[in-house]
Amino acid sequence: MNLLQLSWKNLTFKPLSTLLNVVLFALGAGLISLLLLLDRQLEEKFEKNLAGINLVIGAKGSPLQLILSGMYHIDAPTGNLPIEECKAFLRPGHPFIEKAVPLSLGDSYKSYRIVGTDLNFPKLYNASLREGRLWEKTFEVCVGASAAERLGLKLGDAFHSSHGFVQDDNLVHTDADKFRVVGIFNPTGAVIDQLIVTPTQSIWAVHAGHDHSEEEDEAAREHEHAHPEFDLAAPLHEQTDRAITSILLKFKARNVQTLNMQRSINENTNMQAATPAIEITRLRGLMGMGAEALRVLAFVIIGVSGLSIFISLFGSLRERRYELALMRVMGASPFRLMVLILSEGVITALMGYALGMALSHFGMEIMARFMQDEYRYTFSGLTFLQEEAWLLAGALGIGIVAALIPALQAARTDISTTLAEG
Amino acid sequence: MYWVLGSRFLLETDFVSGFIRRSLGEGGFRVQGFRWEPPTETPRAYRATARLLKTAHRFSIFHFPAYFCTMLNAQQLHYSYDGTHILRFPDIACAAGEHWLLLGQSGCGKTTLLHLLGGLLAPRSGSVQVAGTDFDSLSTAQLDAFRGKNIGIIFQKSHFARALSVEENLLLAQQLAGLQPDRQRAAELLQHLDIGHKMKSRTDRLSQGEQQRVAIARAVINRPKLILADEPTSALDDDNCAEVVALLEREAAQTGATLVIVTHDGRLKEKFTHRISLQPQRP
Repeated sequence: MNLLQLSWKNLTFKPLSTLLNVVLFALGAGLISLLLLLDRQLEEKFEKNLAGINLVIGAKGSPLQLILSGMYHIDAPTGNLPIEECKAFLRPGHPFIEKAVPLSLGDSYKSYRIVGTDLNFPKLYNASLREGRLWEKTFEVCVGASAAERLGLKLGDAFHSSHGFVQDDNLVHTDADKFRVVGIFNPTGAVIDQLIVTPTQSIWAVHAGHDHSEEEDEAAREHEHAHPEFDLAAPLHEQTDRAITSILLKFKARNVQTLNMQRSINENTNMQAATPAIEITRLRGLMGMGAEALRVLAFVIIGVSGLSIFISLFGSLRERRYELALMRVMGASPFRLMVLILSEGVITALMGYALGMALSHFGMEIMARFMQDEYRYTFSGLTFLQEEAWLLAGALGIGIVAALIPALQAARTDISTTLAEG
Repeated sequence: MYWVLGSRFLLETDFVSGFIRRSLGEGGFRVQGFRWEPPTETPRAYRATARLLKTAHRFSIFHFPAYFCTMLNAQQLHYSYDGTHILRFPDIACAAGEHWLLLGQSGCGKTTLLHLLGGLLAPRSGSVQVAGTDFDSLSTAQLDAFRGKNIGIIFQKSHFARALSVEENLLLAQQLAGLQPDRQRAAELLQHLDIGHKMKSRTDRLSQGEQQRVAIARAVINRPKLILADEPTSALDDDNCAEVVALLEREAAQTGATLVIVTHDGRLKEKFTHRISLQPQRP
């Protein structure tokens, strides 16, 4: 029957009050840990997916939407960008632009997005092939690692794409060719893991049917397998009658000209240009206010739980004063009584911490499932952060502080007076 | 023989003059022209020898046999709760294994005396020694540890660690005294006191009499040298009273402990040969 066992027995002797303290502490600690986890994982996703892109060009609309759809593939695309207008950026040899990656969005397969682009796109994310090869002609696709896993796609599989991002049988492009999987990427941790990548021309070919009348459609279908007009070798910027969704730009260097380029696009053309870093900072600022409020709330809850530990220990001292005096009679020094009460506070806080961690990681795992289904983003509840070790130290600290005054009080118990009373 | 007899009193030098006075008469006497005057202080030779032996005892160079030691020795005890009203207590000296009764009416400071003897209170003046150790020479924590190991106290009303079972309360007493928990000893003791079947019960589910037995078990479990009992029988009827006293005496005899019972209960008077009456305190 050592002091720790005695502390534990005392705590379980009042199960409801202990439960309240533990749950309060768990809520506070869990909320803080959850915020830390979310913040860290979002930051990682945002960082990874920046992929060195300096500017995104798309149709006029919300710049945040342009960034979210063009870079993070979570929002709907802003609209079409006629190549006639943006061919300047696609043409090789632009003095400031190191790389310009065209994107054609809007189709999906079982709600995984299909991106029409060129071979520069995988290079942005340093995606290497796990198996198969890169596409060589239209209707060949390379699939990101998690998309392939979740959709069960293997090399040689074929599927019809579907219009929009929701899975709806009426929107499937049954009149077009099937896409065929020729390559599967290694996992990168970036957004490309969730995507199905195909040459821009494939998207044009799928939608070619829509523009024609029914008779022309019939005629078109006869040539379908040839697709002579969609030659991957032909440079995009010469196909001025076509459209894409957006262009991801990587500059050779950031300077006044590149800054001016963004302004002049926004002011002088029907296109808009947005800087990912700025938009993401803005987004995080917006989310940050909510996160800040939650964080304050979490600290308030932790403070209240500390107070609650203090009050229940202090209250129990009155009921237990004979017991404490008796322990002195039986040979316990004042210091040991102090340790007894302190360890009751610390055990409560540690249990709260453990429960809080379990809750936050479990909650994160559930949110990860949800986000996987909703946004095709993978998060994990199984990563642990260094900050959580600090949180542990904080929990210990709060346990000690909450129990300190009752512990000192217990150490000061006047045995004679207390025992004479009873 | 001198050595054996002497050692008992040599421990407490001031006691020697008292002993001589008591045995040879306070006023001295005259036999055939030889006049005996009681010494006003202990002879110097006694004091020097006693100091030497005490030092040897303290550093464990040699031990007095327990029987020859005065187990409990309280001298010139005074206590005051408010600083003006002073409680005076008679000197007490109990040898190892003796059973003493301190009798006194309510208000004569019985509980205060017991707390002083148990080291729960510090006297205003005077000294208490248990097994040759002066409480004054110990720090609070040392005194707590000493008490846990050497003194078992039974209070008027029994209190226990509420979250623990009967058995766990006994184990806690061993643990707090710095001893190895000994389940077998606890079980045997409870069997001995006829409450073995309540071993796993919570203490607040026991009857008054059962609680008193557990309190006795807890007081003797560490085989203390001194057992102090404060009014152990005041709430009990005659049968139970006799039984509890018998139990106390039996357990004390088993461990060879000195037993001191503080009470106002006249029923105990005949059972003890060693008695000190506490006088009502004069204001």
